[in-house]
Amino acid sequence: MEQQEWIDRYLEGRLNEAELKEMERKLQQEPEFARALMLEKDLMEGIESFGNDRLRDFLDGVHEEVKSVPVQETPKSSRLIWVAAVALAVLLMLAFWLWPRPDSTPAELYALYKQENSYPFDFTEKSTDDEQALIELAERLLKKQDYKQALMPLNELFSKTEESQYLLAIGIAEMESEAVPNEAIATFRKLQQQYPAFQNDYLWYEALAHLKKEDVAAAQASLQKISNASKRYEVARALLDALDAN
Amino acid sequence: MKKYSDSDIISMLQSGDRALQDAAFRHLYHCYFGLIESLIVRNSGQAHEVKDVFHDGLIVLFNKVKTADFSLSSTLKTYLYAICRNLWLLKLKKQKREVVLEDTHERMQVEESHFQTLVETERKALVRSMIESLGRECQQILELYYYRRLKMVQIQQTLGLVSEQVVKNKKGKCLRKLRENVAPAYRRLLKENG
Repeated sequence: MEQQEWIDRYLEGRLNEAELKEMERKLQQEPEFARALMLEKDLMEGIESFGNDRLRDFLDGVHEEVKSVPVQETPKSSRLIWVAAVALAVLLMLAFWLWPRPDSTPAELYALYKQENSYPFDFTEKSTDDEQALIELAERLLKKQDYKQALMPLNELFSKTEESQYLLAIGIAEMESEAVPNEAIATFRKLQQQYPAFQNDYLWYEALAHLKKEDVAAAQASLQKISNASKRYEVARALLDALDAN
Repeated sequence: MKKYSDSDIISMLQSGDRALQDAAFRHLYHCYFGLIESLIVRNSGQAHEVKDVFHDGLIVLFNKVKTADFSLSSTLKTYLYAICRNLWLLKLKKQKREVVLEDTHERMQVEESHFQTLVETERKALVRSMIESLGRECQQILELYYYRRLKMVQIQQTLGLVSEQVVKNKKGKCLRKLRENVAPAYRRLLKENG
């Protein structure tokens, strides 16, 4: 066997017992052979490190994708696409009817802009049965827009897991169910402090809650904090313009 | 989001299919970034440190999943959490150790081992620079075969090559070229450092 074949078969674990003994002897007695093995191991480590860096680049891309959208909703079937299309048509009609006019009230703007992004209520599957049952209950109640009832399973899920997806859903459910959404505002602020990676999303929801409360100055303050690198920036500017026009 | 079980994710990472591996990483990102963010921010960490720890955790997970004797003895969530927790503890410990290094006795010990590490680092940097100087196709073939563990047919499709045999030949040629480029400087380096 040639030196390279010895090394390849050794690294791939394809040497038999007798060959392994011979390999050990060569490594001890032939410095050139030992150096060649070290080189080969370094080459493999170098490729591993190169691969790690390429994977890091890929993960940076994924990070950029998700940082403005905490949980993405994906259509599960063509039927859903149709439902989405109908919903969009209704939304466009609503938008036409409620299009920000100089005299739009904060309540009208809230009704219009809360539709801008569908709520992120597609929770990830859990390994334990009790958490999975809570998720299914929460999703069912949220789908029915029974936000007050949905708070119970959502609070339980958050206390078990401390995952931001549940706290965000709690904030939205509070915003929808409270006439004066003070608790929702507190929740969105807590999210900004504890999970700063998605701060722009939480600022957006905080602004909506202020709008529902008809506190225009506070809504403007939240919107102005949204970074121009965020996907929320354009819509935040549009809402600020509508508020300025009032 | 499509729901996958832990064993689905492990199979996808082990599949030797790049699209499946990428989908698995995306799924892990969506499911567990928040969990690790919470861990780090609650334990003396800053928001900007979360991404690096989480990415390193996913890389450690991938490298472990690729090993022949890998088996999952807990949920994937617990496993990834444990990896990221250890990485974060190591980072905190490292920061603390730098403070301890101000002590003279410790500094002497570190300097000695630091010398060994320097030679090793130089060797690795040399190999790495030679990989960087290879053509893009060679880099991709070596990465896809040795790191992503893609099958020859997958590499052929990913890179649009005419046959699996062409991939095999190119892989052998690229590795030989890398070995030949590294060897002279490598020998010189080892000779200089005894």
